[in-house]
Amino acid sequence: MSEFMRTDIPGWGADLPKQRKPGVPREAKPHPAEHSHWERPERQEGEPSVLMTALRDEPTPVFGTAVPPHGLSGRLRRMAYAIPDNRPSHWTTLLFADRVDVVESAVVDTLKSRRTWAVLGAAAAVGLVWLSRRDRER
Amino acid sequence: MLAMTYRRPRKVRIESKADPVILHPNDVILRVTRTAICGSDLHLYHGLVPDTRVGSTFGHEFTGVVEEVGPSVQSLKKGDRVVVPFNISCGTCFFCSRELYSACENTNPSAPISGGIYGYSHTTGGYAGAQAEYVRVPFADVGPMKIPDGMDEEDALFLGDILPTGYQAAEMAELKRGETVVVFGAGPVGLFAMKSAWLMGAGRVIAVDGYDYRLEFARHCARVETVNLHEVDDMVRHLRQLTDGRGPDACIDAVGLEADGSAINTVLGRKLKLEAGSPTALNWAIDSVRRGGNVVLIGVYGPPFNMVPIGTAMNKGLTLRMAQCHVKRYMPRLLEHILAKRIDPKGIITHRLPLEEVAEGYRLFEQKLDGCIKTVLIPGGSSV
Repeated sequence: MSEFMRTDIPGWGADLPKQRKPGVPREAKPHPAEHSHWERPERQEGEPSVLMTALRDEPTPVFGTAVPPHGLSGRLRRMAYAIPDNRPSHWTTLLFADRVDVVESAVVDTLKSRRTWAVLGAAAAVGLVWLSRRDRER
Repeated sequence: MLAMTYRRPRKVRIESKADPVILHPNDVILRVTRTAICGSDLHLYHGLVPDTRVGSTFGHEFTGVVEEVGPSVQSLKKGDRVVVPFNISCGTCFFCSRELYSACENTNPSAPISGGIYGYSHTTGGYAGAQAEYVRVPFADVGPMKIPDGMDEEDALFLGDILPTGYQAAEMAELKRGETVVVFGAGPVGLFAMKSAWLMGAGRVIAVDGYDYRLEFARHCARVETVNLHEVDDMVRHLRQLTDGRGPDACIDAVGLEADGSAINTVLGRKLKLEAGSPTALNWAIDSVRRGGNVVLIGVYGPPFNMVPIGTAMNKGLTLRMAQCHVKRYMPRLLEHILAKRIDPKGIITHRLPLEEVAEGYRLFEQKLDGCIKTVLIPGGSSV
């Protein structure tokens, strides 16, 4: 086995020696990453809208700000994040909130759509005509 | 700016959103030049990842040009071309200092299981993704790597995720010269795991997938043996027969939580969500690998839990290794491999689409249409 080689594969065995493997050993000797110039990073300004795990008292120095929680799905998400992550109910509540979010967003999209109001307006007009004809017949 | 926006499972569209801004002194804002759809984005697309919010922008594989620089950034300037790891890492915490960059404890306030990730649900910190014209990049002095002058961005693009992920998998398999490894999943990550297994000195590499065109691509691109899971009654028995009855020395699960091949796991995991997706590939890996062998898990799984034959793993004396890739650790060595032409990352790109056609890109990739292996999106202003 020590003489086994595959000469038909370009680069075969190039990283066989341990010293060429970047991930060996699994944990490197502690050192700061190149170009980092802080011991503890500065904190991002602003009140985070991102929800925190129940295991944290304060946000990480850096956090995302995309799509803050909103509506009923947002309330469900806040409930979920109050439950520790090691409990399945944390994750199942979040999945349920995702589904509620889809429904809420579809309703909002529908109400914002000009086509929706055009259809409603046309339906209202037809309904009024029908009612007035019915009243005349009586 | 234009950005991909998730609306509901299996529906994404392009929308106009506000441009990102500098929020932390070490942020940069990148104008995205290339952004890819990852296999793990499909888990978000299918609504399987908790806290995936309507209105989110996905995308964690990208290159870009620096447009704006925060006041404390020292290593980058406007106009630099960079490729960015999908991990957001501070560089100095307990984990980053040990080069375990995907475990950074300063970038994800929402869950203790990983550090921050671009565009991968709010359980990874709520960061906007890069399937957009612009993206905010925190800790810009730590993460991004400059693309060498003269190097095509598409040669560098996969240094941010799938290439180091596949490479780390092959490294974690701890292959000895001439050993046999089975890679479940012939998608982009699986392809790079196969190519990396040769770099690690494997004797045989066997790919398992359910699509003939992907297996054909693997044979051509990675020079591997192949098995179509739909043509085999008993995968475990088949793999043992291929390997002198003992089983392969190592198995790599590059499929993750949406694996085919088991009706019960598909129903319980993917349909009813009574477990976190379908661990079929992992189960096959544990059952087929030889006693004392190594099983590597790099396909994405999520919380809370899955049905896995842990008793089999224990009795066989297996070593299970897994991780979200610590990308930054591998970038320099992989760049050397690319420049020496041992790996051709651009060779797996089959589809290039304008960013505006992101919905079509997801459809092609998800449904495995038109021979799709990897789709790259190109925002306006960059050449198609």
